[in-house]
Amino acid sequence: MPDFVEALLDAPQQLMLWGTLLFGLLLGALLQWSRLCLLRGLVHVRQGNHLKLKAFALAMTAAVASSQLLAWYSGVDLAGSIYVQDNPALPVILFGGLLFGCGMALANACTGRSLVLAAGGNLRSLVCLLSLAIGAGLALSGLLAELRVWLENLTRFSLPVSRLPLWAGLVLVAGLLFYALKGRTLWQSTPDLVGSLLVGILISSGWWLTGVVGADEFEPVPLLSVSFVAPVFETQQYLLLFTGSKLSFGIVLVAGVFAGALLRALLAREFVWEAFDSPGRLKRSLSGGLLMGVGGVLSLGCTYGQALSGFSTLAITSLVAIAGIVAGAWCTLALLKN
Amino acid sequence: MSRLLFALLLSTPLSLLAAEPAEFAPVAELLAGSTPQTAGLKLDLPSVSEDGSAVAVGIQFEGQLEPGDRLASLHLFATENPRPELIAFRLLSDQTLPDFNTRIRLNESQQVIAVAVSEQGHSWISAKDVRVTISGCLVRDPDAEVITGMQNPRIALPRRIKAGEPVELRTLINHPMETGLRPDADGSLIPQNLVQSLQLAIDEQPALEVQFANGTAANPYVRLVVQGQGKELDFRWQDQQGEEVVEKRQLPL
Repeated sequence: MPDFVEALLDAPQQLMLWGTLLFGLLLGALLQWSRLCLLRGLVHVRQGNHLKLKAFALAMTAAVASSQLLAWYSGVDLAGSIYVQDNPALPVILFGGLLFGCGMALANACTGRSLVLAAGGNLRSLVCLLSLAIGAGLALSGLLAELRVWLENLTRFSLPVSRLPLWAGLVLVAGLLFYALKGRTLWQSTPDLVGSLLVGILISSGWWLTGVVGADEFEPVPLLSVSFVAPVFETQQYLLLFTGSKLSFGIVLVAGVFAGALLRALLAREFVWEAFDSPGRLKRSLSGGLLMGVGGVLSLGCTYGQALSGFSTLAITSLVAIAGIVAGAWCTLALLKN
Repeated sequence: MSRLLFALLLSTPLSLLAAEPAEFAPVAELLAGSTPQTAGLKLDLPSVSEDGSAVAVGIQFEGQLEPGDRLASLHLFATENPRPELIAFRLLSDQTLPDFNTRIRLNESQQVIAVAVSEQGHSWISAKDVRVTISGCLVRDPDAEVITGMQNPRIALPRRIKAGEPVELRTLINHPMETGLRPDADGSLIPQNLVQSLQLAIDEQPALEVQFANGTAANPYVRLVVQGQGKELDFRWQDQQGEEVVEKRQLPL
């Protein structure tokens, strides 16, 4: 074997980061192609079109199925992820979900979707991401961090179970699958059907990268899969504090998804510069980003982090966060309409 | 006059903040009057750490020793921890290279100081500021598993070992490293309970003693590098109760 391959095999974390780059590129291209988006799903359902929401439901189903298979086959313990907690601060998670949903409706795209849109030349999304990084930083380690920790400790309580038992998960997933595949809507759109299925399966690859490839008992790495709020903040920090920083799964994931979406947009000639047409849109992008940043930290994840990765572990916190995100987005959409 | 007073007022706290690393009391004691060189000791630390309970640190000596002199020990100190000692490495034979990695505890943003001392009393110093932020959302409950004694010692050898080249070894033992400063759920202090040392003997000759302290992170991790003809590695961890865990490895040289 060549020397660099040998060297990589000796350094699981390096191997994981290279794997994450490929993974991110693929995910970015897929997201750009399939236009997977929970918010778009909710907006269209309000207009009577279920295609996008069905696609997201299919992605959730695929994420659960593939991740549970991976856990069973490779022995990765998904209970080691941050979503599975014995005494979570559920009120804070619900509140964070509401904020996130509200921000996503204001900014007109969630975190992951903003990243993909920004890579396609959408400057509104780029502004939203910058604002989101600031919001996430405020809540993670900045001005609001102590308030967050205080609130979390105040509202923690012990749950009898930290994740759904497998049978309940199967029932839930069967319901989602039935909704997704019922009728002919989803079958008639290849990007939505194939794209969302592949994105769901990729969630388990994320667990595989951090839980198997990067596993090193001497230098443990946190068990993670696709998520975007904290990683966008980490990426911003990395860009600003390059000296004395280290690459992590999240940073490489954000870079990979951005590059993958950019490449796919260029190749498909879909790259278009877009900007604000009114101060109102700028306000919405800025405030939406800020709300998504703060809310995404409180809820432990975004539409990808909680609704796909978290949901794939069948964690209780994920169900609460998803409920918050959907409710927040739904109410904000209704208010914006009026 | 008033301007002078104002300048004095301003400069006092600033000069306190910018205290020379060599003047920090435990460091000054170790230096015993010698003037440390500022080049030659490499301290590798992140500038921002989200988890002060386990900050990865690397220390490596690259300086020039005078003929006949040899390096005796490497030390790490934290200026604002309740106890400044983080960890110390005593080099007992030339088979151990002055190149280590470990994980330390920093309870707030502060300066970490590395000191190297040679047998003839020469010294080297290096310091770095680390900002410790609130541990991120994303840390799980550390009280999930409670162990009190040393458990599960592990030693990793590289997959390939080439004759004549330095060999990198990684060691880890599970232990809570109780500082004696932490209250339990009832508010009473949990008594101090540390792994005190890790000793390495190569072919039954003492080669290295690592002294752990309050500032060493739980589950003490040490990466070290050995070189030479030695084959038989004997690792010995000792805790404050006098218990001992021994692991042996053969180098396929």
